[in-house]
Amino acid sequence: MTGPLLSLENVSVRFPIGRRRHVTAVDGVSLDLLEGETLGLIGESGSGKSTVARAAMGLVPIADGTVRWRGEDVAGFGAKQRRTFSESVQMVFQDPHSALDPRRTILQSVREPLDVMGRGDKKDREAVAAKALEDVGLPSQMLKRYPHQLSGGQKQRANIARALVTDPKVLVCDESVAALDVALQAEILNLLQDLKKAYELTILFISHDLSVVSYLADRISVMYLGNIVENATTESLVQQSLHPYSEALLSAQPLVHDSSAGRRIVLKGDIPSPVSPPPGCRFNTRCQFAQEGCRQEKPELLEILPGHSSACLRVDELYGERIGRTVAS
Amino acid sequence: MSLLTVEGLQVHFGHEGNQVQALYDVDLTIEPGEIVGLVGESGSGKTVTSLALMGLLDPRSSRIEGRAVLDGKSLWQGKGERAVPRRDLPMAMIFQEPMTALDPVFTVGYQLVETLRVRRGMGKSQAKTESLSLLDAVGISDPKARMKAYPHELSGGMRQRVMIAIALACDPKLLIADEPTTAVDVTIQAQLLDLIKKLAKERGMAVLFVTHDLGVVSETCDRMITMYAGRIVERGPVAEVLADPGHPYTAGLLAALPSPGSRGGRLATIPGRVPPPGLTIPGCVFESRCPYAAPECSVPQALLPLTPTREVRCIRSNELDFEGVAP
Repeated sequence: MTGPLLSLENVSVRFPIGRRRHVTAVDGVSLDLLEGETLGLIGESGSGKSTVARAAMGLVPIADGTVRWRGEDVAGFGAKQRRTFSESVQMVFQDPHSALDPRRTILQSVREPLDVMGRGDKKDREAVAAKALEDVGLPSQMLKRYPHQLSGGQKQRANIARALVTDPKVLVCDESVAALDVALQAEILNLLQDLKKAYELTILFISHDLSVVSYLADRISVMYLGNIVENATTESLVQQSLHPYSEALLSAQPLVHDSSAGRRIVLKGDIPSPVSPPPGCRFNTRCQFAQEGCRQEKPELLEILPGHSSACLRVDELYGERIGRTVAS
Repeated sequence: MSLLTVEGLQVHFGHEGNQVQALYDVDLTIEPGEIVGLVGESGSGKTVTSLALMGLLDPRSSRIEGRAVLDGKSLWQGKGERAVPRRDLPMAMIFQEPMTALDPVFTVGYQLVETLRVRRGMGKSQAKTESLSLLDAVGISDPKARMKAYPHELSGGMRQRVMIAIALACDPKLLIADEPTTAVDVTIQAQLLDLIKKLAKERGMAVLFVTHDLGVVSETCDRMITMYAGRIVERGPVAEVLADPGHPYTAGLLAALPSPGSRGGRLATIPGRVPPPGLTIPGCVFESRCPYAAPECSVPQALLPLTPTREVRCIRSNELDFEGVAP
């Protein structure tokens, strides 16, 4: 068995907010992205999902911890290795419109990563870009058009094509379907599944929409205020969540065929500001099970069941039955 | 009698010679205290419907036809070309992006007090007291401190609560909510949906809830209306429509929803896209995207009763059995 393709070890990201103060957007997060899997990252806005993705790609400087690519520390990479790394990890952003240059045609935009890399001559690059655009299902008459002439779904396809031209191993999708209608969203999700097979991709899929993540991902990590609070396979998380926050998040998702009456846990208030996170467990201000201990001790992310870890001090008390039942069966 | 009755609402955009029609003969009724969901993709006419009812379409570039009566009063004053929307009716609207709907240079308190003074003719101190109780009613903690806050100092959920408070300031009998929870997180969405439901129940306020999220419709609304290409294609009680949709478009929207159960499989899609407004479509508007299209679909479809409470604009509705929509 080989190690993870991309891994974060205890990564923290801090941003300066003036007067020598800092905000810790990501606090000691560890993540492993295994080759060929789809890892979903969910959480509310402000939980640090996007920052984790950016840290993994080297788009924001990390304050602590290490990012490893195939087991090697990214920080120690020379210029050449660094370049291979950035070619291998590509990103698809949320808003398909603002991610494209309005003054470039689709083909130019998609070709740009190859221009930057200086691969082959212009003709070859154009051919690669055209091939990628064909793979994402954009008809060839679209190549010479400008972003404003395309629909949202087509623009997102172009964005995906641009991420694919460098032949990446990892595709980071940051809320890539959030701005689309359901029918289009279904098309893009189908497309991502197809491309994953065709290009042998590993996907880090960031979303606040649990139904999208649980449809696409093999494993899910739940983030809250800069911390990962739960890690599990999708089935395990959906069926037997072991953290009060994940439970609330799961229950808040409006479903069509399952009335939430009775099952819904409505969290009070908003996510606290990461500038002054609450002491102890960061979820204690909104948790219905919070006790005195939760305000003092910060829980660690511990493996409770095989492949299922949770950061909650009261996990045994709250979910003893679930854990017991699963161990017994 | 219904609270709101709309008959034959048509909206045209553009000037003579270059006009496109955005709404075709929209009829709808809303009862007091009822929450009606208006669903469809972008471009289906949901927002145009709500803007037309609210009187927010620019009269220089749009033309509205039809009749709309709220609580016995017509929504428009005057006849024909010179009709202008009335501004004194008990109706209010909340929008998708509370940050752009609130004025960034005035405090929340100022904006609330202003609304109360203009709409309800209150004095300064009375308006202030009323503002505090409105902020309290929408679940804002420490209303006194929040009165002095500027919109940028509040979180997305709080801003939307403030918007709702401003909407409540004119004591509306009808609230038009245009995608009010699309820009917020699920946990905040759950709070806001609970709040809207509670207000509808307590005040007997009717809500026209525009959304593209069928999950939200299922949890919040009593009845739903599916719109497509500026027309109503289906309507009925939410539970019945979602359990057994009558129109292929509603069924398509339902089947496209991802769920843990459909993991690994392919999601159903609706090929093609909503026809642009202005395109003349001879037959059924959904024919070009409909997997069940048959020769009889090439004639215009009427909104026909399916059951006593439901109507569908599809001639084949009774013989169709949709895949992938069952619970």
